[in-house]
Amino acid sequence: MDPTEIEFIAEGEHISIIPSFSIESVIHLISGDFGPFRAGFPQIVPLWLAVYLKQRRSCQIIQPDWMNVELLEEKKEEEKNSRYFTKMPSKHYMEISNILLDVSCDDIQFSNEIRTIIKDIWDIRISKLRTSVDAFIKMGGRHAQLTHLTQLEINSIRPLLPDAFNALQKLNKRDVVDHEDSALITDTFSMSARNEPSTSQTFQQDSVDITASLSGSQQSGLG
Amino acid sequence: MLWEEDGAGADDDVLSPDELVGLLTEGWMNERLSPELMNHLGEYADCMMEQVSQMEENLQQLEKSDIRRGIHRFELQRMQFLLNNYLRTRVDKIEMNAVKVLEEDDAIGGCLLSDGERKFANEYVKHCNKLLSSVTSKIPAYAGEFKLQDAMLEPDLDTPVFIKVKKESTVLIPDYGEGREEEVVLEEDTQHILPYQCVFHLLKNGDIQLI
Amino acid sequence: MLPWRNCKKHYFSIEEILASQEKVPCTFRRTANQLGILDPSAEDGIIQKGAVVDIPLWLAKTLARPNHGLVKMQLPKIYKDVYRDSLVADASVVDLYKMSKFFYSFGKQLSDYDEANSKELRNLLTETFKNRFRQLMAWVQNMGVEEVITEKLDTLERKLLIDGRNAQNRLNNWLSNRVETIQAADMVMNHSKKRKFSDLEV
Repeated sequence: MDPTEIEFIAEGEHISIIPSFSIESVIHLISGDFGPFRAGFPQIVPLWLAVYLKQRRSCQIIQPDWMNVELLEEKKEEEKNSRYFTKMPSKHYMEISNILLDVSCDDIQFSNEIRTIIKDIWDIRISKLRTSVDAFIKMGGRHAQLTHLTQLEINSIRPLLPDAFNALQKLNKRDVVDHEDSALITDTFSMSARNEPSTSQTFQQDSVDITASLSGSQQSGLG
Repeated sequence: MLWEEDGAGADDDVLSPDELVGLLTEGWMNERLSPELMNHLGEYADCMMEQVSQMEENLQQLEKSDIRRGIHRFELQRMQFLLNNYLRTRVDKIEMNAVKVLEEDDAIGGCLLSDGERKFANEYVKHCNKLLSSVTSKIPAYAGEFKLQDAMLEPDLDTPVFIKVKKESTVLIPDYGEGREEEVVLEEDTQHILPYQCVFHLLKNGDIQLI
Repeated sequence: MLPWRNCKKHYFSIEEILASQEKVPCTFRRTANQLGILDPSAEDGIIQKGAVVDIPLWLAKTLARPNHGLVKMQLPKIYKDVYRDSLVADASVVDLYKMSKFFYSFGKQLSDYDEANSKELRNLLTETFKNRFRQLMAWVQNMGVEEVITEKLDTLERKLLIDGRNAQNRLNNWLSNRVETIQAADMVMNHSKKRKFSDLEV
């Protein structure tokens, strides 16, 4: 998936805004009913709508509760000290903070600190993820639990993880060939050079030949 | 009034618009992330397209300066993005293995493809065969016969997928040549990575969501 | 478009076809009078019984079939002896591309024709891949790495690297398009990582 597609999903999350306009009736959007809007009074809307209005200077976005320096610092410590992935305050924390810090930086208190802490949390989690992915591949795992990972984080290991997994599966699987073709190579598979003479040209005696009889006429050329 | 609660589409009695959005979004994610073609959500997609065109019509009634016009229009763009992306993903998958897809669709009574997609798939196969025969007719017979199906790409159903569990269940991961089977309990609200093959029956039931 | 790698083996897989072009040492069991074309050093276009010639796998397997029995295939040396030892010792520093452009794919195809050693050969392939994976993942996520590093990767690994990097680029772009400072941070990280990698290069 593309990050923009994940952003699309994240934009469905609800957020509070303070509109600078008024609409008396409820707006019946396909995604739900919102309003009525009264200038100066908080209202919950989907994130995409909040961004739309903010870009038209028609509202102020209220900082989500979890975008708070102390809370995030605590989260960061928790994440650092835990072997596993901790639950994030929002399952789209990176997407939402990225969007808000971009379009409504002025509405966010301590935006620089928040930006830094969130990036730090992201980096810690991604680094843990990398280690987990490596272990998963090395151990030939087929299953793992990864609750608390967010979609953007999961997406960061696509396509590498599925591709590597598939490549290993393919290398591991014995493809079916015709029976007569299954033993065309008749070397000994030497463990190391120490048991064999230095040349790798040695091959089995003629007596370990294929048992199937040769076809009638001997051919000395192709076709 | 911009919105008629009991408007066009039989599904409106059963499904509210926001439920429709939720279903389509989930269906879109599943389609994006699964290696094989899923059963079509044609009914819902059609319903959404109806909502979209209905809404566009209604918007004409609003004044250009009305802020609601811009809001609704923007939402329509989002819905259109969702639909387009969904349909385009499906078309790509159909092209990969049109012959098999048509067979499967037939086998399950037409649930796999929408009418438009079926028509597309048939046309596509026809054109591919035409192209192929223009080439293979020039290859001597002893080189062997070549069918269109050989050129088609079959999805690897063992590819790992990330899932979110909606309803608790247990799956069995078969022995992949390492001599061990594994039973895994999928608890509600947990997330896992597993071979697609092990969980696609849960996906079809709606017990899990691909993420 | 679904990437080809998510698909089962198929007839037109370019990588499989090219991999089957890799050469296998073959010992001629009988004199072949008209096959001189296979061996540039053959006098008068005749290949003598006992001669060892490198023949592409796709052809070699046909000639080795019981109904012809013209040649006996051997495992190419890159999957044996000192080469194998070097992979077992530390796969991540080995130049796989030099050993074979299609080390994994070729090895896999060979294993299908070698019943006795199939498991060991496939084991060698999978262990090599697993041991090199961590480094590959690091290179996917760090953009500023120089070309010379990718020279040691075989074709399969290069494909993984390219696809992985494309996705990483999209993510980085998305992250930085939103927030200005992240771009600088990435550059700084890559700059210092670049120096570390040059320590590895021999």
